[in-house]
Amino acid sequence: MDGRPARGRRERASLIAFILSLTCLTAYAILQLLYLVLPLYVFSGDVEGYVGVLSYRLKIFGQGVRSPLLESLAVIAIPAIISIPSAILSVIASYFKWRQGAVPWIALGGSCVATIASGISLGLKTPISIIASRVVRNYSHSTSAGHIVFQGATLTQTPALCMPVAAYVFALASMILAAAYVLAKREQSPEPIE
Amino acid sequence: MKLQRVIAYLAILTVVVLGLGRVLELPVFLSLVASSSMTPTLQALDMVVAVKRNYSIGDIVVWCSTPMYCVIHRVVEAGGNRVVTMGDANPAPDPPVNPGLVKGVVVLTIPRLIWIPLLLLPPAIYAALKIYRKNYGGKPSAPRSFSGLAAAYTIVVFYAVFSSLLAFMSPLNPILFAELSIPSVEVVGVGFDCSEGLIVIAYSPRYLEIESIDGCRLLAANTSINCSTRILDSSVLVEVPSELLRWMNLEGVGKAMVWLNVSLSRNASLSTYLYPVHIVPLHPVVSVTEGVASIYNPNPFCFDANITIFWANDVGPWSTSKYLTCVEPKGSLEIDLRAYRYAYVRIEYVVSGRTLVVQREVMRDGWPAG
Repeated sequence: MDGRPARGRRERASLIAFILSLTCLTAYAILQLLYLVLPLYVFSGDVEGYVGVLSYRLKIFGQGVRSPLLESLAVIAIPAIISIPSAILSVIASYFKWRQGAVPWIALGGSCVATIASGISLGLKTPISIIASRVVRNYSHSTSAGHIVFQGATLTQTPALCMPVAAYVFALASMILAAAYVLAKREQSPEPIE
Repeated sequence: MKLQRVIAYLAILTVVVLGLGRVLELPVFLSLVASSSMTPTLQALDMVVAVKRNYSIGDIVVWCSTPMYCVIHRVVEAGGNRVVTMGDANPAPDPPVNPGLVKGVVVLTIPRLIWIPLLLLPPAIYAALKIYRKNYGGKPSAPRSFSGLAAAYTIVVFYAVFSSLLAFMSPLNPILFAELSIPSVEVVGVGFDCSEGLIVIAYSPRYLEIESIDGCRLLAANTSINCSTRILDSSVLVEVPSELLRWMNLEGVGKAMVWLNVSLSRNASLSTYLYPVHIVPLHPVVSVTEGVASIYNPNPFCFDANITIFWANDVGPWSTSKYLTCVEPKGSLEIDLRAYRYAYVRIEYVVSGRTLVVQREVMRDGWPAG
């Protein structure tokens, strides 16, 4: 039995896995970027504006307000921001230099970073949701004059909220596929990968 | 080479320990500025070195309500059991905190443009050189695939350490809004303008305007009636029906309650409490001028008066004439008694349920003649 066709199939499969890994990493970078940049919650009514991970604009009863809490959340998101160029650089390096031995490992490192970062992004969803719900709280209150009832504010979730889950799935898939490729390559050729 | 490695590891360890110092309650620790509330003194992402020592007004301190919830602000009030801080760029001070929450005083600021490159560049250069040497340095000893593993390992480890340090050093500022002015309305005063028959309710609205009055109810004793209103600047004038005032005066009901449903700007509404109002009618003014008795009613309602005239044209029996009348609101009733030789006028009226009597001598003997 000639093992060459089987080996060729395996090589082709591992190459497809690597290409898929890079595609997933690209998808991760796009989704993560959109998640960080786009508004997650849009407000209307007494509260107008939006809240996102890196930016916000809030007008409560027509007055612009500043939120130190949201600003500090943006600092926590820095690792997620760093993961985007890291993923893109990994993809670019893999595209042009995929035959070089270290590059698939770098792609694997990039997808590991992406997986950690998407975990951070997922974790940021909860505080932002809590903040959003606190922003649209009932501003009705009682004073010496009586009970003041406001119209209230409505909170609309944007599709960007689904992106960290999708980004996490892509990052995880990218990591598994890159690991499979690297391990398959090592298995196929104990010789140095060139 | 070994010494370099030891120095590198020591440097990393120092940064890690100082980064965790706030949590570990160390006398010196690093902290990251998370927001722009201290601009221009501190910028977001600047790193500060804080030490545990006594502080005074004007010092920038780090106080933490939880290990992750910290604020780097300037002390504006200190003493007793509380410390008040305020961000240089904030318009209002923070809520007072217990002095025990103050973790340290900022003694050194490392701008972000210095510490970020310092932190990122050396490991990046080190990792790049390491990868390059392994791949292209021609060292046959180690398999080349291992250099890739080292690269991936370096990237992940560096990233994980960086993320963890950032999470530990950047305090989450727990203040949701630096300044939030919620529109509000306070009542300044409620009073009764007896001359106009109006209940005046003065408000002091903030970021709101009174647009219309959708409902008004007046309650006096067991009576409840609708009332009409007018808006005058930020006051609401409630017109009390004259019949109600007349009834209240006769029955001696001196207190009324008023309830309003007010439409405000910004689609807000105000449902008021029952404002108590003391309603005290004015006394009539009785005067006699040249044989004419005059009763002036300063109240905005019809004032009931029981008038008795004692008169006589000669010495002899007195004649009496009585009549019950109503003095028109803001009007006068004149009783011409010049036709009589002797006359007295006696006016019985009710103010706040109490019957009062005024008696005036109108004429004396000898005038007018015939």
